[in-house]
Amino acid sequence: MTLRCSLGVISALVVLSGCMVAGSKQVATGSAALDASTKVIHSVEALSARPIKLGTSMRLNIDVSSEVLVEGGDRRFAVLLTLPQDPSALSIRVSSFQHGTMDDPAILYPELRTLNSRFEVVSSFPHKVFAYRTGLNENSLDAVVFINDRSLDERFLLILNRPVQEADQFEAQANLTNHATVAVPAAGGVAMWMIPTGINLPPKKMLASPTGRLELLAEEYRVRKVK
Amino acid sequence: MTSRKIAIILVAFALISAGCASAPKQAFNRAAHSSINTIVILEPAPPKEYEVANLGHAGLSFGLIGGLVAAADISAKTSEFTQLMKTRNFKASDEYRDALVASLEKSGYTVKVQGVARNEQDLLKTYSNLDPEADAYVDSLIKTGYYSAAGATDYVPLFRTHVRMVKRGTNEVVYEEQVAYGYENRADKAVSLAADKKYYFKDFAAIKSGADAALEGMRAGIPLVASRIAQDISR
Repeated sequence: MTLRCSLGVISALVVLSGCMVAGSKQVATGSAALDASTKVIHSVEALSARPIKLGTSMRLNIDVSSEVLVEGGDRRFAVLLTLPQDPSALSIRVSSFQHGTMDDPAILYPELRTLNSRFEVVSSFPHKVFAYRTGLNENSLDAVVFINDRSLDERFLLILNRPVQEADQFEAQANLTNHATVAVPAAGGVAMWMIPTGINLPPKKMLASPTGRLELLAEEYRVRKVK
Repeated sequence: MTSRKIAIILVAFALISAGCASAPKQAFNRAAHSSINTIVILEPAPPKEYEVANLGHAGLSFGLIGGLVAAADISAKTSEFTQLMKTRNFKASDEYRDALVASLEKSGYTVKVQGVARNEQDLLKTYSNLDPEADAYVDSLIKTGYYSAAGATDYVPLFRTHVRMVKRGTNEVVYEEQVAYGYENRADKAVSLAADKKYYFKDFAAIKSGADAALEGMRAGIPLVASRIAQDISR
């Protein structure tokens, strides 16, 4: 039992290093920043737009410095992006990365809309288009949206933080195998011994944070073929 | 145990741990493929075994001999667990196929099932000479069992599929995804669907003594995975 506990503690320390801010704290800080922001915009067309560069991964930090869009009394952080007009069909991958600690996770749930040149909504994408993915370094909510019909005049992609109730929040989990290095006495000194260890954390709802880190990649839509 | 079997186990073990980093993904562009109405689900290959593996086995820190001990331990547990599930008439591939049919029909597709000859536990290499009434074929590779991150951690159920939809005629891969229920598939950046904590088992003895619940733990993931796929390719 002692060994079991020790290994668990070692695993947790290894896994949790680098995840210092608890999700609930990030949510509280983000909500306060949202409420206190003076960068308040009341119409989409007044948001500053940034161009999306085709084939280049774009990092977006939604934080205290971001603009806040007010719609019907709701305040939400907003990022407006200009869509590339070149290829006839576009695929756009949007990833929002998990924050917080493993037992108190949070994430920015993005809301995506495409807008035409008159800033009218052409498409809005439901919450369920996102999927939770776990990766070697980071976990994220990912969605791919497509721009197919250029006659619809889709010119902009609007990203907002989506307030998500607990019932609809995605669950994070962790199953990680690590190696703890232990110094053991050996002839002539000390040898380093790698002990496999790990952690299984059960599912935990990810809180909806108004702030977060996103990544976006727009590419020409193409599919590969098999025989 | 033959050296060949040990080698296979070690390779399998490495694959579970590392995943298949090159596994491609393709999101489904429904507007671009709105002509797909009839889907033929190709019968997935039944898993040869339902694996029980401790991915942080202590033997792995003792070099080759330790690795062989770990492989032998995994092999023994896998054989015993497979037998326990077979006596309960668990057929993962049949249950997955049925769940996928139901989910895709609910999404509005006409769905058929076609049996195919597979030379290996993998997706098909070619999609010619299949049902000509299909607009697209859905091909899946499935795996299920119980995995633990280390000796000190619980065993967690897993049901994982690598699924691909190929358009008949053009042979375009219009959808490809890795969907994992339960134990994560981090190396592939798979879509991760959590398993309920009630299906965690503290060790192999607990799995054996609670074999019915262990079966339920794997089964619970099948409709979740099928539903996620149907949602991804819904019309």
